[in-house]
Amino acid sequence: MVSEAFRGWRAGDGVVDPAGHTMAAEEVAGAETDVLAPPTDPEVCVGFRAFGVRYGDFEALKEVQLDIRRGHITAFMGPSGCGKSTLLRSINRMNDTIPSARFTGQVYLDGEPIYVPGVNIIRLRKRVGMVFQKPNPFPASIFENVAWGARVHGLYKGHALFEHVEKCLARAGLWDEVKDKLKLNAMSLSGGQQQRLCIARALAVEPEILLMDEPCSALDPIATYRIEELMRSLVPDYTVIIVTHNIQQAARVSDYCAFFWVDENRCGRLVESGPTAQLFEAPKDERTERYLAGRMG
Amino acid sequence: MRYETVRRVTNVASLAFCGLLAATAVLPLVLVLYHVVRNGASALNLDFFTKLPVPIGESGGGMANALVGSLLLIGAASLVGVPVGVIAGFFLARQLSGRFAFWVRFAADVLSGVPSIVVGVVAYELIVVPMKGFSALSGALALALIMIPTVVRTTEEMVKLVPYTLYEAALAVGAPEWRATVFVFLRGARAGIITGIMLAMARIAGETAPLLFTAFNNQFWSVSLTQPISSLPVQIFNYAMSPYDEWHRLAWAACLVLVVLVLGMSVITRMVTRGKYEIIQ
Repeated sequence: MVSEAFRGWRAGDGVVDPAGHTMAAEEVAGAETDVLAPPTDPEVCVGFRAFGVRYGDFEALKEVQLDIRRGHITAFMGPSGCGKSTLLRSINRMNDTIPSARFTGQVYLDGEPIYVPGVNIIRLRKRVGMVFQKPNPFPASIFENVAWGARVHGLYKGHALFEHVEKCLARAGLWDEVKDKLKLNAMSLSGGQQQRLCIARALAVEPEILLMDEPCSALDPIATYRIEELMRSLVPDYTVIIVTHNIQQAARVSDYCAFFWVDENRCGRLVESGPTAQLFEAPKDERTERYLAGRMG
Repeated sequence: MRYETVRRVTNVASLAFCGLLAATAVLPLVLVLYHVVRNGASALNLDFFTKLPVPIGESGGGMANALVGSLLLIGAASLVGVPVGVIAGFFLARQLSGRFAFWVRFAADVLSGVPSIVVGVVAYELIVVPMKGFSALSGALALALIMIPTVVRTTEEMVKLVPYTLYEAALAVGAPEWRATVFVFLRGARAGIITGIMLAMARIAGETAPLLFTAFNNQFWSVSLTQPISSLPVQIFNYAMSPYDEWHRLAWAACLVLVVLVLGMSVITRMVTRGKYEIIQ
């Protein structure tokens, strides 16, 4: 299994990329032998093992070794270009849509590797939902936005589907505001409402993990507050992973934090990670301390 | 004069000049509508829509066959042109680079610049000659060729306007690529694609040159695709060239019907697609 995990994968088609293979093998050979071992702790939901991403010749991220705990909120922090979004999008393999993307190392989801041939990406994305930086509801009705994903996976039909949509909208704290206008175009909602609709849409396929890529950066403070409240209400039912530029936001909402930095080659690196309180009060690395103090980044 | 007065006068003069030129640009349309309505309205009656042309010397008669023939030609041309154009446009929009996409795009641009009479000659060579006779089919195909580039390019542009993040959102809920593509891009670009199709249809509705030696003309009732068929533009051409006042009147009436048909299509398109561009943020 470990040798499998050494391989790099070309986006989408699951064909072994020889170049990626060579690079990964060289790189990891010098490291400890168990660097690619799957997480053994059942509380670990997502495990990155010597994980790296490159776009063509550009190395965006490398040697990420990180465990993400089930039922908690984990925040990825760091300056622009430190690879935190790339890492987030690796969990549901959204980076596969970029043809030049190559991957090394491995990501484990509930102990199962996801960068191996034969992984069903559609089922993976059903388990790992995603909310984007800018609210991006479909140009369709509010109902259809939530129902579509459930329909794609054949989860519910008829009246059960309606009840499911209601449940998801209620979970996202939007039901009371939209219950009388489910047939209205989703574009008629405000930005904050659209983002909550996108969360309802993600919940509609019944995921275990919710990835949020700077979900509040396009919203005003009140809408941001509502999304943050909503995030807190989603744990421990869901595992939430959020990318944020906002140090205060990470401090407010997250249970665990991972701090990233860019090295001299503009390649993203994981600097340190741990419980949020610990990371904020007693950062181990000087860069973390300076970043959190607002003196850098 | 004080500086501010100079500014104010310049402003008024410039605005007046721009307004005048804008009015000049609209003038041709006003002239066309005025003459067509003035000459056509008096000749237009129920017979025009229900009766067939009558021989020279008899009064009355109509253009029922030409009206139906035109609609049939537009319909048959759309049946070929719309699927080909929309699918090709979709392909170009989702296949931004690549040699093949480049050549398809280039070919569509060149094709849209080919004079319509040349398209007619080609249709004659390809269909009329092997079939040993003029036919509605050859006319429809000539019109389809004229239609395709317009539909291709508008479809491409409209699909490109759909934000990529919507496609990502569809993939992120676990939709297969084909389903995400159809749902997001077709839905997002629907209004624009329909506009393109309607404009292309309006354009071919008035095409005369490619029909002259493909669909030819027919003084009798015919809805057969293998027979020559009458159409409004060709009928206008024939009647307007004739020395008979009665035919001139009918030609004006046909002009009015044709103009109303084309204008109607544009107006309906505008109404249907109004406010549908809101996804483009």
